[in-house]
Amino acid sequence: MKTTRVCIITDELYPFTAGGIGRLIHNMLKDGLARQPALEFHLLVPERVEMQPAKVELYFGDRVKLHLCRFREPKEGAVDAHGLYPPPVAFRDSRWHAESLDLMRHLKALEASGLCFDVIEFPDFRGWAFCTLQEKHLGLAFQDALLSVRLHSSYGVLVHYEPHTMEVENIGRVEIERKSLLDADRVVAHLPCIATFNQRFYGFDEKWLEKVVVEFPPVTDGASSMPPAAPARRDLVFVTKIQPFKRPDLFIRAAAMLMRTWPGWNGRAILACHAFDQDYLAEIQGLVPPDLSHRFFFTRPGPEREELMRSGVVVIPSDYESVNLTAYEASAVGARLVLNGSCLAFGDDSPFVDGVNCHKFVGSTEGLMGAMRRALEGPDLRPVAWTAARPYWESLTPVHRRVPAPGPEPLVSIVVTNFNLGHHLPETLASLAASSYPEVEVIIVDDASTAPFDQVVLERIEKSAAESGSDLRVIRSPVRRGLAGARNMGVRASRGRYVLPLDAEDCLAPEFLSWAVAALEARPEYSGAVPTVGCFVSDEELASRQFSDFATFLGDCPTYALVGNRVSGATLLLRRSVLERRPYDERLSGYEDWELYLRLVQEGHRFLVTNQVQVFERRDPRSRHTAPGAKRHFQRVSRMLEWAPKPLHPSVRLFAVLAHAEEAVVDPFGAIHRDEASERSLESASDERPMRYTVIDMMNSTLKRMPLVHPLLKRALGATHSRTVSQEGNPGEPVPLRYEVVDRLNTALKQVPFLHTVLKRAAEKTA
Amino acid sequence: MYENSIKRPDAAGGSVPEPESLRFWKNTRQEPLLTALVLAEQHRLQRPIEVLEVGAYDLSKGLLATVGELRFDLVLTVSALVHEPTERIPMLLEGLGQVLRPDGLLCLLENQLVPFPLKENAWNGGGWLHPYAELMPEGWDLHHGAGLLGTHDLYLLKRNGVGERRYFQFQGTETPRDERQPLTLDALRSRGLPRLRSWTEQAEQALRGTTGVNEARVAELSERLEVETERSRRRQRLLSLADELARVRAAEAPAVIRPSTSNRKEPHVPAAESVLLDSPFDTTWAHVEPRFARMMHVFHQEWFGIRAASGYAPGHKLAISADRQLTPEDMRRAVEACERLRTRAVVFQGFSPNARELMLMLRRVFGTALRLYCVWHGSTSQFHIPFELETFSKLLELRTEGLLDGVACVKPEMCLMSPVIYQQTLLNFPPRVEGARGLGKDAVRSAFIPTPNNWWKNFYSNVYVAVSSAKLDTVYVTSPFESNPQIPVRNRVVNVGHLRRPELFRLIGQAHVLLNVTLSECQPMTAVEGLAHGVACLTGPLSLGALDEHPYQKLVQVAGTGSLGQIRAAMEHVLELKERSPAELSQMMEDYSRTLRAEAINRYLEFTQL
Repeated sequence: MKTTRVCIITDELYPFTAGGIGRLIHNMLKDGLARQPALEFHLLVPERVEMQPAKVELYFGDRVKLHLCRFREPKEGAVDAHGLYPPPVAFRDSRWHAESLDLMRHLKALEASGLCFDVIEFPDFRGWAFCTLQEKHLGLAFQDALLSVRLHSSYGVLVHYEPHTMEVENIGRVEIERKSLLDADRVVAHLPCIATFNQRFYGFDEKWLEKVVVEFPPVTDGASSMPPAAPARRDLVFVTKIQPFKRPDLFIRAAAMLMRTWPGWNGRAILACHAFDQDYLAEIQGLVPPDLSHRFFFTRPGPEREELMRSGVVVIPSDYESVNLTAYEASAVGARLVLNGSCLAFGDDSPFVDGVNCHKFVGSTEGLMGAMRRALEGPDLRPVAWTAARPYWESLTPVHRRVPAPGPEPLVSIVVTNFNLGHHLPETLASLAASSYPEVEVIIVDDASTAPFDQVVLERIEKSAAESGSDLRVIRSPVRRGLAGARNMGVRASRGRYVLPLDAEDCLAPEFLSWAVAALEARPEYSGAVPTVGCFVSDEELASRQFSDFATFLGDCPTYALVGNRVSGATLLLRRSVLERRPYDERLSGYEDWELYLRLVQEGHRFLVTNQVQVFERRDPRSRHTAPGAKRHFQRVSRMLEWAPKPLHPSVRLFAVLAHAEEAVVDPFGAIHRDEASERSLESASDERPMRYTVIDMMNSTLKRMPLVHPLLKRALGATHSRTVSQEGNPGEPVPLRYEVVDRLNTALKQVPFLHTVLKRAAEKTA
Repeated sequence: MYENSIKRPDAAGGSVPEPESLRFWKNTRQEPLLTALVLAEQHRLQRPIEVLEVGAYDLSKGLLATVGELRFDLVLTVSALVHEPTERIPMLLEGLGQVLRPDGLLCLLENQLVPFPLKENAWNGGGWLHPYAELMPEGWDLHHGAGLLGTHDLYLLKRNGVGERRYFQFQGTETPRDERQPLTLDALRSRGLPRLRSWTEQAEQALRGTTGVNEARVAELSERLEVETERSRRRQRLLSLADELARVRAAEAPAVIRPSTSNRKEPHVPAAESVLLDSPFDTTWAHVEPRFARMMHVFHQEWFGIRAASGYAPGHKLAISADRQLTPEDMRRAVEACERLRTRAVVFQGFSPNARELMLMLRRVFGTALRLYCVWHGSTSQFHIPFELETFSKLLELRTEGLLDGVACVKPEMCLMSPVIYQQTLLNFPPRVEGARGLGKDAVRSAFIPTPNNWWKNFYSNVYVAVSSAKLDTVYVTSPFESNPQIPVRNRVVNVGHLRRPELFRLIGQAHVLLNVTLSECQPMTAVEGLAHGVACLTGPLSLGALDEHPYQKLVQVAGTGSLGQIRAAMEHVLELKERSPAELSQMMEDYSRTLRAEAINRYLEFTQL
């Protein structure tokens, strides 16, 4: 019997890490191994998690293997058989895109070494599946593997339930999560309502549901239930997590209300759980009325957790859960349960029935208080009953390889637009001649070039075109039309099934067309294929593929496209039918490609993205890459949003415009304000010296000029502190006392809201 | 680069170090011809002349841009145009003309004349035969010398000032410009017929091999061929256009040509090139195998053993420097070579930081269009040297990461070290040596031991066995042999010192037996070099799979490498057989050599999936 190999990508695994997903995976492994002898699990875990393969194997047996994936250093490049990959620092759209790439590279290396998986399963959060899916759909790897994404709770969904800052990087994260779910071969949901919720949330069509498999997971490790306890006093227990969507606020308010309205009950309210956000913890603690504070207890989860649940009423008021293991665990140990009935994980699809195995409430504080009282007063209920579904990997059908229909290769029309860039045409044409794709026509559209040299070049090309027949053509526009007009001219003249716009100074990698055409022929649901871009300045750099910068893209990203162009660079392979219906807008004198992509993605067009650098873009000071001023930028963006084919909702427009205000967003990777931010990200990639050290050095030198002050201060401070190991851990290298003092001060300042930021900004200005 | 190939012979015949290619032609029939030409021109001009030898790389780069203002009296090419498609030749000849002084001579030692362009399926796969008479620029004279150099013709071109093409019979090196015997174009065309005939014979032979293929398949393939030809023509047209535009740009707008970032050396200071493509040293003794036409071996110029092994194998050869860092220019030349030869698989023979850089570069540039392999020539017995262990580990890492498509070894059973190593052992080819299998050896009975005198090469054991044998008179060695009077030495020991390859081969060919019983060995080059010359070579156990059972290998293999008795017994056995039944030994070796070559080819093809 053939062994089925399932690879699960995770950064949690019980008992080696904390977290509910780690428990779920643990249960899935135990259950899977027991059910099917010819099954092998592989876990791919980021190296930073610090799990040891030997320990994992010892715990689960030799049918579970652990692989550790190293995420690259910020500026570390990578190359494999299919080409060059940008370094992590280049992924300004979101850092998880870079992580997704490294996971893909690791999986690909495993495959190349002969370890082929039948199933590779990713979690939905962080969009880790993104690059692996692109690689598969472009036909470069994983052809026999089923790539699945399991719906836990994506960041996008959680943002919906709890406040988050509008960091552009998070928009990137939402987009790669969304696209991973859309591009996956299979999506795994634990309950039907979770599948439909995600479908509506992301705006996927009904067809998406066809690839969703709903299977209830093994929620506890063995379903042994214990008889209920009969304690002298029953407490209210909150054991999930201090996190907004888990609603500890609702728990505290309802518990306090119960204490005030039911004097006969003298129990306590115990919050025994993790709190990773200290500010939020303080906020929650502040909700406890001072006169009742002796009845509220905050503690970390410990060994008494099970007893606490068994003898108390476990309250889970979460707004959203895809599956909540704590509820099942509590029920199994005989706890009384109070659940939020409007939370999907406890809804009608779930095994939880109000009054049978739990008490449900809907929404309000009063509702929760009522349910708490019912649970405290009422009789013991039955433990919840559940059955784990048969995992989808037990009934795998061979993966259907999508191959293009046999027949002649379709023609690709390459539309090269030129305006006074004739100097660079030799390299551009040589790159097209080197393309491995055989059926190509090259249409050079000259947008009324004025340079004398361009006239010479165009005449030569025209002469050659006259001898070549139809595979090389020159179209000269008598007037300057701009990029949009010139590209449209080329598209109108084209005969190919596909069109690739290319600026006269840019070059194409040899394999791009072959991959992209094969992928689009096999997958009609995609409208185009987007290459990752490498930027060069000199021809030497081009020849040796030493890129000074990169541009990475997300393909179809309808939300991000409102804020910045992360759909594609100027060059991509598009179906001609798409461009015929939706030509470039000739009214625009900038952002014409962004505008086109915005319209396309808003209409639901989908794109594949190469992980490898496949287009080489010239960064020539004389050429078109000049950043517009802020005013012009806003004008263009607002016009683009105004002219959208379907009027956008005012709030969407507001969001898109606001996102461009530097004050409104945190843009650490320079996803929008690219040039400044790339510098910033490069700075942060290097060993940055904190600004506070510079400030204190200045103060120190001033103090030294005053007699006696400096030595006295130093003696006073030195008596209380001494630190001889620097932060970086270089033993023996003493840290100046002033640095130690300013570090402590800094930590204190950070705890006061806004003060640190304001001070830092002021210091930056001074510096 | 071009600077490296420039030679300026002075009246005394030149004292500067010579590049490899010039050394090569000095050793062949080309030498007297080219030297005489140089002397004749010096005599004519009454001064030392300036010569530029142009290689294939220099042509592809655009000569004018790199030579700058310099002009030469004699510009020569040797087999540099064979890989260029015919449509590029007129443009290239014009380019060569531009670096020539007005009254200079352009000397091409290229393919034998043909009446029209032909593509030949030769050892290097994509060789063109060009009809030079048709391709030369207007306003030039062509002096054609046929049959002077075996496989090459001489084409001497000079400007005539009359604006038309004229043709002459080359009268000899003393009088290269002699115009006494004019020729017509038709006459020249008919001179191309013998070469055309041999081409058709070759083609017919190739066709005869396919009689079993049914007609439908032939029709389908022909149709496919037509489509592919048209595509290739289209691509070629676009490429030529790009080339042409680049030249227009160079001519009209010199400002856009950036100086190369590599260190520009003065042209009169020749230095060894860091990248050599198909240098004669690496191709002269190579086997011819059309299936290797898209394979490129990359190896290090300074690592002699591996260079020899790579040089004997079929396929193209790129010799890179291991010691000098490769410049961006060197990298570009390597890339261009792969591009131009349409290489499918690059096999790195040995691994160094330079090789790694080149691997990364090729991967970046070609992606999957090019497969990258590496052959490890070491063995575990060298792992006490940190460099060896580290390099081997690095290779495995690159294989695991996917940068390399395969790693193989020539040391048998190295695949036990890691599952990522190719399971079969690759075999070293013997050199291709024409007509060397004669049995007419010297009257002096000699053994030859061409190994360094270190302990693991077991030098002294081999020498003492040889010097004490009554069946030998002389023992040739290449390393110092020192003995003491207390140890009886019967035979004469001659230390010939370090030999260049032709001399080495001559000595091997004269020897009666070679001794190479070392304590640790992969696949000794001495053994295959002896095999090529029909001279048996004693070795330690080799473990080459099927070949282990061959009677020849059993004959020469000494199990106890430390045992003087066993070495002596094996040597005497070989010498006896040679004396008693030379034909039998020769036949046995022939058969072994044939099997080895076939097996070596198969394993390489399987490894590189060509």
